[in-house]
Amino acid sequence: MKLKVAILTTLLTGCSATLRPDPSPVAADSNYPTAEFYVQGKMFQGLGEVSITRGMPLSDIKLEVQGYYQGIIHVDSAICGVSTSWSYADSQRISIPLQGHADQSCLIDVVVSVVYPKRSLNEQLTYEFKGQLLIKVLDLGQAWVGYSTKLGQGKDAKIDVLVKTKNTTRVAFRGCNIGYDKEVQVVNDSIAVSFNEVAPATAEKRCSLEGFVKPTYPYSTPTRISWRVWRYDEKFIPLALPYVTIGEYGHLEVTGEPVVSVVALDEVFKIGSSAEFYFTEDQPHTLRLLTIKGRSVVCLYTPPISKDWACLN
Amino acid sequence: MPQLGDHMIELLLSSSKGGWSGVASFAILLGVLAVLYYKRQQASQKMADDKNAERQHAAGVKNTEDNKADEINLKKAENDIEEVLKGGN
Repeated sequence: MKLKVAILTTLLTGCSATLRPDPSPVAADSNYPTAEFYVQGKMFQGLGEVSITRGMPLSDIKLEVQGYYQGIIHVDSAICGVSTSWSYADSQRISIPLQGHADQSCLIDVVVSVVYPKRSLNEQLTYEFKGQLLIKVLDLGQAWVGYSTKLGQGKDAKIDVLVKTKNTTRVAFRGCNIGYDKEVQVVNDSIAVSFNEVAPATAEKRCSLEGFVKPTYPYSTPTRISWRVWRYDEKFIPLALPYVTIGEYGHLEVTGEPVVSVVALDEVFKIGSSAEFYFTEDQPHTLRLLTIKGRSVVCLYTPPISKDWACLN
Repeated sequence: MPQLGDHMIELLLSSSKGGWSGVASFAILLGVLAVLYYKRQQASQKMADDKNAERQHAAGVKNTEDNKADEINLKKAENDIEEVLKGGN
């Protein structure tokens, strides 16, 4: 009898795939940005950075934000003078027009609100993908490196900064209520800086550190450093990387965590936690996995440079 | 205890034995159930849509506020480090 009832229920509810529940905390609320955006063609997931020379038009920065299905992309920066929403459809990548000239560094915050296909929703609440781009304004000839880190609670992060000296170098950072200033020995043309050493006591969840390295001898100009560190909540776990294989007849088989709702290869989006796609090994591809809580994995396949998937989560 | 599914199966079985009234009853019952299910789905989907739209708006507002705070912190850090560079301290 149970079987008969099950058959009837199936007939009544239809067979369409639905989004999967994700028990994880919401990524955006957990201080874990996951929006996918591109600056001068380079992909970033969540946090990104780019520099521009003072006085140059901001339109020189080609910022594009990736949408999924249809929805709204909201972009904000008080300093760079942008606060606008754009509607998108068909999983478009929206080009964000920046106006004016580079005068002060700014942070462009991005929110991607996805409207999933109606039939897949199954009454579930869905959540945004957030991101932030640092636009660093430099005077002509200034050297700069930018880093961003999504850091788990109780964890440490390190950056390696290249330095043009074999001796010692001065390293200083400000921001996030810290004042770090130290002479360090250069090893293999670089210095390693640890976040917990630079900002050991900070309780800030989003740190914008600005600093420099300046060789003490021989004299040389400083290299400026921007380092954004976002500490995400203890209970939040980034989405696991998918299991990807090339099956028979050149098909790509992708299996994500059971909580994954969308698997997409390039422009082909499929509802579910696993999917198969037609795949060409000699062409570049982008693979995406999304959950309704805004967790995501984005993988790039870039032959002939590499035939491995480079993934960010 | 007999359940709705049992009744439907009985109706289905009776219709298969040639009773046209059974077929009609079954079709009507199925139709009514489909309409009820569709209406319920629509109502709860609208509720979810409204909640999602409300949250999207709130996320936009929060984005603007977060941006202001972050840009103030960035500007302060930049000013402070430039002072250090100028002063040599």
